[in-house]
Amino acid sequence: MTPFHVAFKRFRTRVRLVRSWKSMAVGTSVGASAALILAFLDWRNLVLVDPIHLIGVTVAGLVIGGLLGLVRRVEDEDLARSLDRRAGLEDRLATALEHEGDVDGFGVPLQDDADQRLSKLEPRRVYPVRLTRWHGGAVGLMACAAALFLLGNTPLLLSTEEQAERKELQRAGQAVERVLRPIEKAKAAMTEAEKATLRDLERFSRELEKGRVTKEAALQKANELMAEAERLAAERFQAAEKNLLDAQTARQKLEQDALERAGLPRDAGEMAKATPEQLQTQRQELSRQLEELAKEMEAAKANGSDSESLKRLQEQVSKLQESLQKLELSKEAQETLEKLRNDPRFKELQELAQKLQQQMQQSQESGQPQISPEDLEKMREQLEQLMEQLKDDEAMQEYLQALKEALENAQAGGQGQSVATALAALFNLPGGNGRSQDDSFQDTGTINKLDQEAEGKGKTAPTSITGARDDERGTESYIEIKAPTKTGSRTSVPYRNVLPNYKKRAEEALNRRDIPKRHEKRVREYFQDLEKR
Amino acid sequence: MMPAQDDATWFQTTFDGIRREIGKAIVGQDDVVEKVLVGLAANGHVLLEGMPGLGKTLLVRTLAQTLGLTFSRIQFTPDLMPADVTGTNVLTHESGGARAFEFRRGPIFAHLVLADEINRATPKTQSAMLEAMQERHVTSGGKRFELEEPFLVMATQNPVEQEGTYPLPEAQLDRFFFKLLVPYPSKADLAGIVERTTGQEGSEPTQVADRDAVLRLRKIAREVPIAQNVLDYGLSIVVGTHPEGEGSTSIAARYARYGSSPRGAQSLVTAGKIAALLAGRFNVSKDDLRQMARPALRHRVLLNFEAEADGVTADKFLDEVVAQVDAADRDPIRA
Repeated sequence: MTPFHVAFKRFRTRVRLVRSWKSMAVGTSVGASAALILAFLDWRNLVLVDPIHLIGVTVAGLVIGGLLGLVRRVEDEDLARSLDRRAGLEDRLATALEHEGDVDGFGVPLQDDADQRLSKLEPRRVYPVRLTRWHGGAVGLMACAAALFLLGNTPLLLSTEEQAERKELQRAGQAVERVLRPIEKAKAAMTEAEKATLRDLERFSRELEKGRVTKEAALQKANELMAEAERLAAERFQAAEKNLLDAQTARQKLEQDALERAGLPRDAGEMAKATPEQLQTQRQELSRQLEELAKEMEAAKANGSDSESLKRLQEQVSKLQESLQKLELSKEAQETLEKLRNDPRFKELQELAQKLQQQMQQSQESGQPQISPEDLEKMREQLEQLMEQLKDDEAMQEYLQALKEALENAQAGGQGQSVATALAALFNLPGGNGRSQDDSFQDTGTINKLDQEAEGKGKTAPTSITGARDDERGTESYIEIKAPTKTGSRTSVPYRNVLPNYKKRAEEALNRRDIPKRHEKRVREYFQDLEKR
Repeated sequence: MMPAQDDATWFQTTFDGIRREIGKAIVGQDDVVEKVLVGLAANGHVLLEGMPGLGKTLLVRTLAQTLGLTFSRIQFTPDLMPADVTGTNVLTHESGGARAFEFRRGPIFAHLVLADEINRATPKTQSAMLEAMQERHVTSGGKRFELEEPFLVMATQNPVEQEGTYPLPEAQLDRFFFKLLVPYPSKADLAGIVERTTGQEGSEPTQVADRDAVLRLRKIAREVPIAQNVLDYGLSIVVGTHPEGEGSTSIAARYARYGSSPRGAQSLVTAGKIAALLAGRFNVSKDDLRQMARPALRHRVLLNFEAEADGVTADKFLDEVVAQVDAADRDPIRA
């Protein structure tokens, strides 16, 4: 007689399979319930969810459920009782299993009877794979989640104006996302405040893409984020400036070390600031003065001047000789420093620092990032190579480290500035790179640069193209601004001609309650004020 | 064939033989006959409740005839004294002229005793009878007289004409293994009865077993194994009749004044074992217990006034208890 544990094997496998099938349905139901909650929260605008999240949660439920069903242990006692029930064995298996190996009384015939009955059973008949309420529930919940999600995201229920506004916001959201994409790569080097702002920006971008914010709220949020980005960029630039000062100090120390190594006093560098021509003139002047003094002394000796006068002359001669000696030393220091400065690696560093400083100044002055991310990346690579080459030189390392930090801060500052500029451009906000409210966002992307400057084709003139331009041919990112008027320019249409129309639209908006209550008064006062003029 | 299997086969054959012989005298009442035989095999007394003339006495007499056992009938009346049942000491003259008390055995000293209309006797007499049933001996004049095995009492009571009767108290009822309700015969059965009793005499039941066979039936019945989950199921039915406590069912909480005693569980399981053998199985199934729940427990539950008002009988109550226990008894593998 086959032991029950062995005889149960084929049923156990089947049970696992069927359990897994059911557990998948249970897991899917749980996942779909979570998806339904997410869809509801998305609909209520409490969290922003993409279809992939809903699918992910549901699939995760399905997989976890399926696995749990597969790995869950099937006890022999449970299996025996279950088989008794399902196959109508009238508790033969459960009793026989309990009395397995029992040879007294009815033990043996009982086990034979159970074994015989068990051998006639087919696992797939006893445990058929069928659709349960859980399967129906899972499908229903998935359908509900999908319906709720679509309900919250479909533009079909919106009016034409609302649809247009949503499209506009979605375009803006895509643009913000494009701005954020390169920045996200540098997330690791960000401060906590920058990371928080980045998270806000990401959320803002998604809100825009889903069209879940009103235009006014989007403007307000963009304004806040832009201010924050500018503040963070300014902080980074300040830090970069400090780093550059540190680099300067480190460079001075480096030169002093070089002088010391050459056997010269550390302050010899100060003297060596004069040019070789200046040094020559000074030397000639000192030699001439020394000759004159020598003559004067001889004349004084010959005239029998008093010892006091002679002593004074002697002191003057000593001083002149000392100056001449210092001059000779400064020449040597200059040569030493010259040698250092002519070192190609040092030269490279100097150029790097200068370039960084210049571009940072330009950035801050223009309010626009002047250093392209590619340039910064190139600089960073250059710096890292030098750090590797000069890793034994402690003073040089200090200098390089300061430069590296400056570079990083400049890079981060540039990113912050880019964000602020892009937000200002996208939402017609004042600030950023100093555009006026008249500027309006149209599109971003890449253009092919031609030899001749590209001519903007907008509906209104003038059209301007802003952004850092590369003199070489190729592609680069651009933001195209099409503006009806520019700051400082004048429109040809008197505002009184357009005011009634605008005022009417504003009143209509007020009547429709499109404008938040707290701003209604402002809007009315604005138009009243215009009429008075 | 294995000895145990032989035993099972012998059990079934003997049981069927007795049943068949009884069937020669009793028309219909198959369920009652079977349950009486279960009581016999389980060493338990049976209370039969039914209208007069339904063949209760004939059943017991035929049973004694087929088993070759002694039979006595006691017609319970209000003036029946305990000594009339158990026996009494009488003064006798011995051959030498000496006088001595001699115990004259009462009608209880038989293998099969029919206690007809037991509820008509006074509680005192009922107690004497039931004590003997329980203890399986009679004590008189300081002497103990064993009742020879097999000893089976079949008491009857009439559900009508309750005036002037002494209904058996719950504690006494509990001593009966089964309480069987003897129904009216069906039209077909009635035709058979009329034909058999008014026509030519048919074949008489013959003895197909003896005292030893009855004792062997009892021994075999006790050997039937029961699985733990089946036992749990049976115990759930028993505790399900309790109006409160662990395992109590909602219907018991509503309608029961008192639930079944532990004797109820013993009766249920023993009866289940016999039912298993009769079904050709070597193990007790839940279905066996389900089948035996009514006769084993119906006299052990005491329902309250609300049950009476709602027309809930003991059988309906037990059916609902079993249904609730069944509902809670789920497939351990929910796949």
